[in-house]
Amino acid sequence: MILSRSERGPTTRTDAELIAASKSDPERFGDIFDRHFDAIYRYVASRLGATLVDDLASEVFSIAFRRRASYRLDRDDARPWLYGIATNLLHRQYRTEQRRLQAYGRTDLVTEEFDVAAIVERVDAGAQQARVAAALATLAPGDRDVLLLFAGADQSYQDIADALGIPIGTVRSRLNRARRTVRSRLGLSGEYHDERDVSRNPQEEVVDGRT
Amino acid sequence: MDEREMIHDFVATASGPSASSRNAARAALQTQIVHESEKGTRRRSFHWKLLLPTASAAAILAAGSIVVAGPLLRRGQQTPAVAAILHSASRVASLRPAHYLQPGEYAYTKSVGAYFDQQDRQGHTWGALVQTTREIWIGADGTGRIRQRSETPVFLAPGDRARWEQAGTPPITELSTGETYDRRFTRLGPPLELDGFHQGELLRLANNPDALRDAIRAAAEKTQNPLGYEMLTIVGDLLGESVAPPQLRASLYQVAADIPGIELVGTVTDRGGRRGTAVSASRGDTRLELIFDPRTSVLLAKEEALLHRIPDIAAPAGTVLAYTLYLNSSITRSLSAP
Repeated sequence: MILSRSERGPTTRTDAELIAASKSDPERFGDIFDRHFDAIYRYVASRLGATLVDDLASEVFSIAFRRRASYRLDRDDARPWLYGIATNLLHRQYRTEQRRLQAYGRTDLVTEEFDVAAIVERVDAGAQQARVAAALATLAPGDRDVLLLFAGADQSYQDIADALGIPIGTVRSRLNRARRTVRSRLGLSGEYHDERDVSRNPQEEVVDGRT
Repeated sequence: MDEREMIHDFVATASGPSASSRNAARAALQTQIVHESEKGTRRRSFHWKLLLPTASAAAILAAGSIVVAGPLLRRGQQTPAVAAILHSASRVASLRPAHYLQPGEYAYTKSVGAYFDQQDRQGHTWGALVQTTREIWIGADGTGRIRQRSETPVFLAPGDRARWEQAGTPPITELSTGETYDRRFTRLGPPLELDGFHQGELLRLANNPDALRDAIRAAAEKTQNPLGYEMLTIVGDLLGESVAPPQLRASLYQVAADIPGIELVGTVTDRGGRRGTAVSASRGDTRLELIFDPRTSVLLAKEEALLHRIPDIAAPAGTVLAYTLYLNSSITRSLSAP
């Protein structure tokens, strides 16, 4: 459970404080795992077949632990950082899978890093989940990354920009395109209205970059 | 409901981690944490002055009847990390290549070790470690062979040699005559069992860690030893020598994680010079350690050491009273050396 700064008591440390402490006391990084593993797992599970989720979700924290010395300590919340690692791993997994499939002359089993059939089968959900999965599968990978982080993981534009290492204006343009496409695929009526990104801290003002 | 809400539900309803998935991931991270914590810290290990720090059996046996020096007492800690590390070893074990013994095949294991014994003469008592070389061949059907040879004893502590000399240097053959125990197990006789476990029974329990734990607990409760100590002993015996396909080994590590009172010692070096992770359980005056390689889950060694001085043994805390070094294992179709 992530607490906003106003909800955290004086003794609850931010992710940045825990990561800073873990440089000399590695055990403190375990708290980062305890806080965020479930959310990262669900994010990965929403994109991959069941056989790969355990390993990938675990690998996110293994990589994060090795890289913690380079974590930007001005970022209290480590989730964008972790989502960024997860997204890169997903793409790397896709490239590895593609090379393997191409070696067997097959390229049709996995759509980028988004395994529609496995997701729908595993989710065992109703028609809506299947429709959403199918709609997401039609997106370009970069657009899908942004949309899933925005709508699925509740990340702000700035968080998404940090996670993916792209300009905030690129986040907005990809998000706009992705939302229009998905709305069309899902048959949602009405105009798509561009909305201001409301960050989790109302005092922050999001600067809209050039699209 | 707009597309943002639909996608939010899509991610939110994705499967969350099961307890085993979370534990396994946490254990993998904990292994990294433990190894990093150990880096740069001065590792304390038992150094027997004249036991050569190599993995070769010949070098280890070359110590002969020489006094041991300089034991150091390692401290164990009962922390949540021990379960995480053992679950990590379980996961590693489950991923190891599998070979299921075929009829006529045996799992062969060679180990060297020692056990403590004492002699009394004319009011003087001294102790020594009787060194052994052991080979075991185990078939899935309970056939096999055990060949164990006792070697020259090694005095336990400096005072032991002195007391032996004061007693007139009597023949040390009461402790060891260099005899060899050699027994073959055929289908016509009793099967070869480890701690009362038949290989067939172990293979049936391989995929059921709960049932395996119950069976090991039941066996442990029949002895006079503390439950945790005896369970760890059995787990170590089965990891070291049984026909253990990946799932059985994985289940044994899961059983170990639940042993009452099990403690984490940390990264140690066994007397073969090999680095591993040690976990321990105590029995009154002594503590048993299992040392395994966390990268492969292979059991490297067992050691039992004094926790403190006791009246019957004139040796300081940390003195090792028994050990086993697992040297090599292989699959063979012959009941001679592979």
